[in-house]
Amino acid sequence: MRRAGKFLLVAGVVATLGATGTVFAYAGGWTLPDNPAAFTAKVATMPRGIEPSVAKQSGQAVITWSAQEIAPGVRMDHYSVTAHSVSDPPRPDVTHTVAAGGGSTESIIFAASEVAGGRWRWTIVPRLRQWIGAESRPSRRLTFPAAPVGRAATAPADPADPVAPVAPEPAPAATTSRGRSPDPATTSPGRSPDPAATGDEPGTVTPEQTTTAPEPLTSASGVVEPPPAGQ
Amino acid sequence: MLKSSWTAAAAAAVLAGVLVAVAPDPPSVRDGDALLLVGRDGDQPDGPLHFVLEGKPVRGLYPGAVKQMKITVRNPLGFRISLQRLTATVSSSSRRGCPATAGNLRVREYSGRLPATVAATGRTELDGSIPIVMPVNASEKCAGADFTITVSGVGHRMSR
Repeated sequence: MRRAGKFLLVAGVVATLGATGTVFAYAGGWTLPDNPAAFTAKVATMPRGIEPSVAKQSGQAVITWSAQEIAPGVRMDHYSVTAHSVSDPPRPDVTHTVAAGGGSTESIIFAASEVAGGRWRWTIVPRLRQWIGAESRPSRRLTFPAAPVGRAATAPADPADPVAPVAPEPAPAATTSRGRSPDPATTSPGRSPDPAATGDEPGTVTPEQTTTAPEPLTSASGVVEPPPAGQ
Repeated sequence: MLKSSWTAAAAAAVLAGVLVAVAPDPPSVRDGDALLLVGRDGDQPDGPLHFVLEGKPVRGLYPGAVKQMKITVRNPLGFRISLQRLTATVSSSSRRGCPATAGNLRVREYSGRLPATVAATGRTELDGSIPIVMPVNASEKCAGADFTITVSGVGHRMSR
C-alpha cells in the first residue's frame, strides 16, 4: 500500500502539471507584449529647376526647358519663369507662372514689349501643388534692342485694362535705320507698366538695335514708357 | 499504509487545485484562441515575440500621392495562425516643421481580405496593402521628410 501511495502521488503531480501546461499553452501563456512594427515612408524632395535654353525670335524671347519630375512619371504642374535684368541700371524682374503642358519639354515666350531694350537672363522654378523647388542656374544672356516706337505708338490701348494709362498723345513714329518693319507688339494682359525701364545700356547694343528716336514709347497696352537710355 | 495513501492522494489533490487556481481561464473555443500579432524591427531571436510583420519602406511620396505598403506576416510557430486585423498609424516624422498629422500624411485601412491564414513556420505576403496617402495640401516642409508608420495586428490560432 505504501508503494501504491507513492505511485498515486507521482501520477497525480504529473497529471496536474500536464493539464496545467496545456491550459497555459492555449491561453494566457501566449499573451504577447505590444511591440508593433515600424516602417518608414519617405517623402520625395522638390528638384532644382533646370537651366533653360533661350533664343531670340522676332524680338521675343523663347525660353525652353525640360519637364521635371518629383517621382517617376509625376511631373511638375507649374513652373515659374523669371527674367532677370542684367542691364545697367537693372530693370525689375519679370516672372510668369505657366501650367505644365505635359510634354517632355516646356516653353514660354516673353513678348518683345517685356524684353525690349534690356539684357536678360532667365531662371526656372519648378512647382507642384503648393511645393516650390529651388531656382535653376540662370540661362545665358540675351540682349534685346529697344522696341521700335512707330509700331508701339500706333497700337491701341487695351480698353479692358482699367489700370492701363492712356498715352496723352501718340509719339511720333520712330525711324529705323534700316527701314525695317517693327515686330508685332504683344504684352501680357493687365501687366503693370515697368517704371524702371530704361532700355539697353550702352555697349550692349546689338545689330538689331534700330531705333533712333528718344521719344517716349507706348506699348500695345497703352503704357507710356520712358525712352531708352543713352539714345 | 492506508493513512499514507490518503496523505499522498490529498497532497496531489491540493497541488492540482493550486495549479488550476493560478492558471488562466482555459479557452472556450480551441480553434479561436485569440493571439496578438505583433511586429518588430530587425531580428530578436531571444525576444518574446512570436509573430513578425514585415514590410518594405514606401518611397517617393509627394502631394496627392497614394502609395501602397505591402505587408508580409512571418509565423515562426508550429501551428497555423489566422490574421484577423491589421492596423496602422502615422506615429512620427523626422521634420519638426512637418508634424505627423492627418494634414501631412494619412494611413487608410488595410485593403485586402481578412482573415488571412499563415502556415506554421510559414511566411505569407498579404494580398492587400495599407494605402499611405499624402494630402494635396501637405506642408512644403514635408519635402524630404521620413514618416514612421506603426503597424500591428491581431490574429487567432487555428487548429493543429
